[in-house]
Amino acid sequence: MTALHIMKKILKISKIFSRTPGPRYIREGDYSGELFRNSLLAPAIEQAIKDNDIVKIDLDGTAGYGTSFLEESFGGLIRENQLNYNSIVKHVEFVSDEESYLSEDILQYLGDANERLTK
Amino acid sequence: MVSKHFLIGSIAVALLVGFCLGHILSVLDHIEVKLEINLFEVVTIGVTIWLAFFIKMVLDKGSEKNLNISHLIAGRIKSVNDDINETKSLIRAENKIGTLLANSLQKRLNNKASDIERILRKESNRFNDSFVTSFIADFQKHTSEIKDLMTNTPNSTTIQVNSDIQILNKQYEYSDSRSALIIQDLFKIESLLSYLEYSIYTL
Repeated sequence: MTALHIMKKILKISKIFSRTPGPRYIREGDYSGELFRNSLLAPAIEQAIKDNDIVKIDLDGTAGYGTSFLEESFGGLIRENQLNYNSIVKHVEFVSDEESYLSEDILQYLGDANERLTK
Repeated sequence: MVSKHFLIGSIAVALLVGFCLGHILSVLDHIEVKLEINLFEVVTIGVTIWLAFFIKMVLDKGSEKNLNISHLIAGRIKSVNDDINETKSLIRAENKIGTLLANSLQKRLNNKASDIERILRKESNRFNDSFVTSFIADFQKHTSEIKDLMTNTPNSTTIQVNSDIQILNKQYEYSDSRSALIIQDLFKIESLLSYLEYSIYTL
């Protein structure tokens, strides 16, 4: 097993995307999960997988997340971007001091999307 | 007129007091008073009186502190209830709510619950660990269910013909049945908070 590099790219959603994350799809409104995934999240994770790095996703500092924003952002990585569940989990870390339950929720969305794919 | 009556009254009272005092003094002349002081008993009585005052003072201070903390927690509970009532009113009125308000509800409620948790944990002599842990776990479970009901729109693989939730003009719109489920879950949080409020004033 290759050791991961120490370099970690940090994606702080409230700074680089929005303090008020929106709906699931771009057609439904501003700052959607689809937009976040396509423009920032998927490229960062694909790069991290390629470079054997880790992406740190900082979820703090926003007004709060709807379920569909998070599901589309992370579940969509498997469903739409065809990324591998194990690779994502290996190359992603979460920071969520304000809402400690979010990282568990996201892992659940990833797991569910992976399960549906393999059915 | 008044002063005349007052003067007569005063003289009568003075005469009566003088008569009584004279009588008491004449009786006292026949009484022999022996003054024996047991120092040990005096000290015991003194200590007992001091202890009684001290215990009362400590108890008063303790119950006042407990009451203040209970009021503080009750204030936080009211703040959570205000958010819940606002959400219920909006959904009851039109079966819809703004996306920003709905997306931020879980965080707002849980932040307030965390404040309550911190206070309860500091008062560990009144509220044991399992009481606090169970309250927070139930609270988070209900807010998570509410968030899913309020903000989980179907994705491309699960799109339904008649979805019971959709987004239109930056608002989540719900079917009657979904609204009823959301309100039902909001009631569960209210019930949890009512029990907490009862506990903070009785424990």
